[in-house]
Amino acid sequence: MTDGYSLLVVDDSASMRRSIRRIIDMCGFPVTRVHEAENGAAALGVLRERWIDVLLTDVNMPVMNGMQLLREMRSDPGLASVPAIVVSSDGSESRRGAAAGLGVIGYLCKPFQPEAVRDALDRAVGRAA
Amino acid sequence: MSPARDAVAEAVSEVFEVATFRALEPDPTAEAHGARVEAVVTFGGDRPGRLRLWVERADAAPLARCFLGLDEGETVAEDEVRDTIGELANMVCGGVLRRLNPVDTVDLEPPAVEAVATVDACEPVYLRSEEGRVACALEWAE
Repeated sequence: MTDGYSLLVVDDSASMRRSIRRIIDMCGFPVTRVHEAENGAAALGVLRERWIDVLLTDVNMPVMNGMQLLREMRSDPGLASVPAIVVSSDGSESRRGAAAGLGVIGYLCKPFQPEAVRDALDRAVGRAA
Repeated sequence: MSPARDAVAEAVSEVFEVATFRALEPDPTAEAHGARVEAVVTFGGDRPGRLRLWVERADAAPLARCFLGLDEGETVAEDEVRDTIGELANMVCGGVLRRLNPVDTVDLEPPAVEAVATVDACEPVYLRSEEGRVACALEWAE
């Protein structure tokens, strides 16, 4: 058991990161800390310095997008097992399939309800019923 | 309505209801004039184009407060307001394109947000809530 989990929210919009944090608060998932990054490259820096239980990442971002981030993570033995959830406005079957191919645990299409976030986070940490 | 206009109306309604707790309905006044904030999202793919979203300027900050979960008395910075309206447009654009083509990947550019004096599009979809009016238009590239 744990008192809470450490999350990393990756999105180029500060407002969206703040909104996701609010929704995580609302959904009741136990959290010790929510880290933030504005693109995939910044996220890799956080992942290599901090213990992160679950990554939530947008797809369309400058510098390094979410799919590139996931590929980098999967090729890095130290990061390959970090559970990842994609959070995107792109809900297309092609994107979902590509994300599934990179081993993501969940795919949240914006906008989303707190219950969907809770379900995805529970699955990511193995708390699903 | 055409499939594209239906998709726009559905996507705007969904985004505003889920992300800002606003219930929208068709706006029969279709009033194009008045101070607005416009967000434009350009998209690529097989059929590129852009989505334009307008909200009333006086309603932009309240919308941002709803989106960010701030209390009514809390102030919201101008850059947060612009960022929020851009994100709403981004979500609407994804929702519209997914409804028109659920298969192909969507590539969205970062939103461009600016203050404007009128809704200058050809036949936008007009919606409204108790708090303010919204307009939205999908424009395909030539």
